[in-house]
Amino acid sequence: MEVIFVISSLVCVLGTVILITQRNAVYALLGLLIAFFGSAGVFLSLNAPFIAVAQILIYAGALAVMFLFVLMFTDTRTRLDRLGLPGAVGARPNWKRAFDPKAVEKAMKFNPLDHILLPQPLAAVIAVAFLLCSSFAIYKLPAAYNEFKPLPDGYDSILFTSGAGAGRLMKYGGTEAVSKTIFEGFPLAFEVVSLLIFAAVLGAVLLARRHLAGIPGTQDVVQPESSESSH
Amino acid sequence: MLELPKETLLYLVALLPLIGFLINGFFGRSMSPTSSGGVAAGSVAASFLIAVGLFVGPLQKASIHAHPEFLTWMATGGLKVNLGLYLDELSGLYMLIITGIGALIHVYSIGYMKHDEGHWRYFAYLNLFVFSMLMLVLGDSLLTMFLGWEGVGLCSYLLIGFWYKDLKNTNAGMKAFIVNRIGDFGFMVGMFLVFWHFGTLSYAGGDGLFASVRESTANGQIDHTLLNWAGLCMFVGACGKSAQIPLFVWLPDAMAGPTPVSALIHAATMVTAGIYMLARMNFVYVHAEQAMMVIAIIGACTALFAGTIGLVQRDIKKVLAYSTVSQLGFMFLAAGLGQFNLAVFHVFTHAFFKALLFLGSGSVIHSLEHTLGHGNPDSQDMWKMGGLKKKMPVTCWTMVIGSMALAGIPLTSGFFSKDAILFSAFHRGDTLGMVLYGMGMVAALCTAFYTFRMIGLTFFGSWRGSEAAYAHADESPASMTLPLVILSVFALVAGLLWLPPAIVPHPESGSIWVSFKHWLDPIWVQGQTAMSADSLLRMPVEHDDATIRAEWMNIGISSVVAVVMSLFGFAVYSKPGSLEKVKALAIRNGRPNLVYSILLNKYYVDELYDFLVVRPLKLASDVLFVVVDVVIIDLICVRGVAEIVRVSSDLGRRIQTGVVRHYLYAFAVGAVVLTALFLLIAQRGA
Amino acid sequence: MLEPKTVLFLAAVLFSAGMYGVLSRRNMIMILMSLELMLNAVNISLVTYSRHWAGQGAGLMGSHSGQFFTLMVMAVAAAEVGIGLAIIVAIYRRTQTADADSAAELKN
Repeated sequence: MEVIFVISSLVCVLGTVILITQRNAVYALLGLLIAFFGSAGVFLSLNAPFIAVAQILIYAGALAVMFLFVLMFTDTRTRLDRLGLPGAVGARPNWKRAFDPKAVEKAMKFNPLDHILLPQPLAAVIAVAFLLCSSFAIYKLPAAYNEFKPLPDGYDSILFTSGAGAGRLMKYGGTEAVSKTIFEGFPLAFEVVSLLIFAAVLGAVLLARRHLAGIPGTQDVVQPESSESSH
Repeated sequence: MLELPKETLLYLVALLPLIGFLINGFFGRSMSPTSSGGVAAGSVAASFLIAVGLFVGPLQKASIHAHPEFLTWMATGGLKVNLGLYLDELSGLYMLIITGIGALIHVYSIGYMKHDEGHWRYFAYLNLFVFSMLMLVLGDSLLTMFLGWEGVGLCSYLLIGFWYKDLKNTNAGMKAFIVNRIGDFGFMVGMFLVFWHFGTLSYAGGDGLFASVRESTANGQIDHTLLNWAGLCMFVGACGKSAQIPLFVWLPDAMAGPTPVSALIHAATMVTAGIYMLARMNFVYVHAEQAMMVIAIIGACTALFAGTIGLVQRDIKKVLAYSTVSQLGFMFLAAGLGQFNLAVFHVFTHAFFKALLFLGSGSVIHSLEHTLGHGNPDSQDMWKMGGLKKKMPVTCWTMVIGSMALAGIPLTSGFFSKDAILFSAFHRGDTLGMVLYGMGMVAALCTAFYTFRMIGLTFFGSWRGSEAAYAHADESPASMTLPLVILSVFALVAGLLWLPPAIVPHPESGSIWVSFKHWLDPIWVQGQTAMSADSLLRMPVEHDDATIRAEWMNIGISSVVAVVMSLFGFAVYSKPGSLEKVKALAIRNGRPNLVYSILLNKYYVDELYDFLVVRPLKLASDVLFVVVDVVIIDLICVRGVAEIVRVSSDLGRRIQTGVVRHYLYAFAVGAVVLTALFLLIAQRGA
Repeated sequence: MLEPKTVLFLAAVLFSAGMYGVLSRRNMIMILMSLELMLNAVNISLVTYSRHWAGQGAGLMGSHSGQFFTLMVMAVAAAEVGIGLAIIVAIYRRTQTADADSAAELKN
C-alpha cells in the first residue's frame, strides 16, 4: 500500500506541477488529468476503491471532457497576451511591444493594478503562506493521527453491526458499504444533490444557449479589442 | 357609551381631537373646507359631550386617575412616567373650557376659513392644539404636562405663522416660539427641582406628589428655599406661556394668526396654561411665600402695564391682545395672593368673554376683508372703522356684552371674578396688598376705558375707512354669529357661579351661587394636610361684619369705576368726528406728546429688549459665526472631515477595481490570515 | 509506513498548488481547473479522515461518511464546473475572451 501511495502521490504532484506551470491550456488540462489519476491512486491506497473509481469516472472522464470542449471553442489568450505585454500567462511576451509607450498606456488604462499586484509572485506568497499554516496544523495533530490503525475485521473488511444486514462482513470502502452509507445514512442529502445537479444542468443549458430573444448575455457581442491581435 | 369605563372615556376626550388632526392632516387636502372643518369641529364637539358626561361624575365622586401600564412612557431609575390622565375638578374645568369653547371656535372657523386654501392645514393644527392642550391639563404628571406644554407651543407657532407667505407673520411665530423657549427652560428647571425634592413627577397615586408633599409636610421635611426656587422657575415657564412681564412681548405679535386662533389659543386656553400650572402646583407654592409675592407683584405690574398700552392701540386685535395680557396679570395677581381658585375662576369667566370679543373682532375683520382684501391692515384699524352697528347688529351687541364683562360692569361675569381678585388684594391688609390693590384698580380703570373706546370706534360714530368696504360690510354667516351668541350668554351669566360673600353671606351653604368654590375646593387639599396658620396665603375670608362692609365698599368702588370709565370711553369715541379731537389732543404740531408716544411704543420694551438682549446676542452670534462656524466647524470640522473622507475614499476607491481577480486576492489573503489567527489562538489555548 | 499526516500533507500541497493556480491565472478556464484541483485535495483529506476513523473503530456510517462527503463534493464540483463553464461561454460570447479581467462589470 505504501508503494501505491508513493507512486500515485508522485504522479499527483507531477500533474499539479504541469497544471500550474503550463501556458498552453490543453497541456494544463492534461496535467489536471494526471493529478486526478494520481489522486485516484491515493484513494486506492487508502482503502477507498469506490471513490477511486468514481474519481476517474467523474473527474477524469466527465469534467476533463467538458473542459476540453470549452477550451476548444474559446480563445484562451488574455488581453495582455493579445497586447503582447509581459506579465501575461499563456503566451510568450512581446518585449518589443513592452517598450511601446502607447501599448503600455493602453494596458495601464485597462487595469493599472495589474502592474502593482503582479499575479504570480503574489499568488505564490499567498499559497506558500497557506501551505505553512496547514502544515503547522497537520504537525500539531494529536498522536492518533500518527498511523492508520488496522481495520477492525481483517485488512479490508468491516463488520456491519446494526441494521438489516447485521453480522455480515463487508469490504471497507466497497460499493456495498458506500451505498449502504448513502441510502441508509444520508438519503436526504443524496436527493438534494440530485436536485442541485438538475438545477445546474438547467442553468448551464440556459446560460450557454445562443441568441435567446430578449435575454441579454446570450447575444454575440464583438468588442473592439478583439480585432486587435498581435499574432 | 355609558358602559365604557370612565378611564376609557377620559382617553377618548383627549384622543378625539387627535383623530380629527390625523384625518385632516392626512386627507384634509382633498376635502372641502366645510367637511374638513366639520371633521375638526365634530371631533372637538364629541370630545366636549364626553367631557360634560365625565365632569358631572367627579363633582360628587373622587377624581379619575387613568394610568394603564401599557402606556408607560419612560421608566428610568426612580422616574416612571405613564402617559396617564388625571381628572379632578381643576383639570375637569379646564377640559370643559378647552373642549366647549374649542368646539364653538371650531364651528366659527368653518365660516371664517371658508375661502382659505389652507383650511385643512388650519383645522389640523387647531385639532392638534386641542389635543395638546388636553394633554397639558389632563396629564397625570408634570412631564405629561410639559409634553402638552410644548405641543401647544408648537401649534401656537404654526398658527401664528399660518399665513406664512407674509414674512411678518412667520417672524411673529418665531418670536412667540423663542420667547416661549425661555419660559420652557424655566419650567424644566422647576420640574427638575420638584423631582429632586419629592422624587416623583406624577400628581396622584400612592407615590405621587400629593402623597409625598403631604408626608413631607407632616414630617417637617419641606425645604422652603428649594421650593421657592422651584416655584420661581416654574413661574418663569408660566410667564412665557401666559405672557407676563418680562416675557409678554410675543402675545401682541401673535395676533398675526387667524382671529379664531387668537380667540382660542391666545385668549381662552393656551395663555391660561400658566395659571393651570400654578394652580396644579399649589402645594408647592403654599410653601414658597417669596415666590408667591413675586408672582403677585409681576401679575399686578403686567395688568397695569398692558392695560395702559391698550389705551392707545389702533389695531382692534392688538387692543384685545393687551387686554388679554392685562387680564392674565389679574389672574397671576390672584394666584400670587394664594387665591388659586379665584385665579381659575377668572380664567373661566375670561375664557368666555375674551373668546367672544376675539370672535367678534374676527367677524368685523372678516366682513371688511371681503372688500379690502386679505391681510390688509386697514381691516383691523379701528381708526378706519365706525358705525358698523347698522351693518353688523349681532356682532355689535354680542361684542358689547363681551366688553361689559371685560370692563367689569356689575352683574356680568368679569365683574365678579375681577372684583373678587381686587378684594383679596385689599383684604391682605398690609402695604403690599394696598399697592397691589391700587395697581389692579388702575388697570381695571384702563380696561373699562379702552374696551369701550374699542366699541365706540368700531361700531358707533361714522365710518372713517374706504366707502367700498363699508358698502359691502355685512353680517357674518350663522356659523360665525351662533358661537357669538352662545358665548355672550355665558359671558353674562358665568360669574353667577361664585357670588362674593357680601351677596351670599354663607359660602359654605352649598347653594348654587357659590357652587364654583365648592367644585374647586377639593383641589386645595389634595397636596397638603393643613395650611400653616400664620401664612398669608390662602387667607380664609372671615365673614364678619367688617369684612362684609369692606367688600360692599369694594364692590361699590369697582362698579363705579367700571361704569364711569366705560361711559367715558364710549362717550369720547362714539361721536362722529370725536377721534379727530382726541388726535389733536395727543398729537401737537405733528409730534405726539410724551405720554402718548411712550404708550404707543409700548414703553419701548421691544426696543429695550432689542438693546439689552437682541443686539448683544447678535454681536455674540456674529463672533461665534465667524470663529466657531466658519473657522472651526466649516473649515476644520466639516471641510476637514470631508477632505479626510475624500482622500481616504479616493484611496479606497482604487481597491474597488471591479476586477474579480483582485477580489479573489483579497479573499485568499483573508482566508490565510484567518487560518493563521485561528491556529495561533488554538495554540495559545493548548 | 503510511501515515495520516503524510496524506494530509499531500492534500495541503495540492490545495496550495491549486490556490496558486487560481490566483495566478487570468484565463477563467484555467482558474476553474485549479479550483478542481483544490476540491480534489479536499477529497483526499476527507478520504484520509474516513480511513482514520475506520481504524478507530467507528461503525459503518462513521467510517464511510468521509467517503460519502467525497461523493457529495464530486457532485457539487460537477455542477459547479457545468455552471462555471456555461458562464465562461456566455462571457466569451460577449467579450470574445476568457480573460477573467474582462468580467469587470463590478466596477460600474
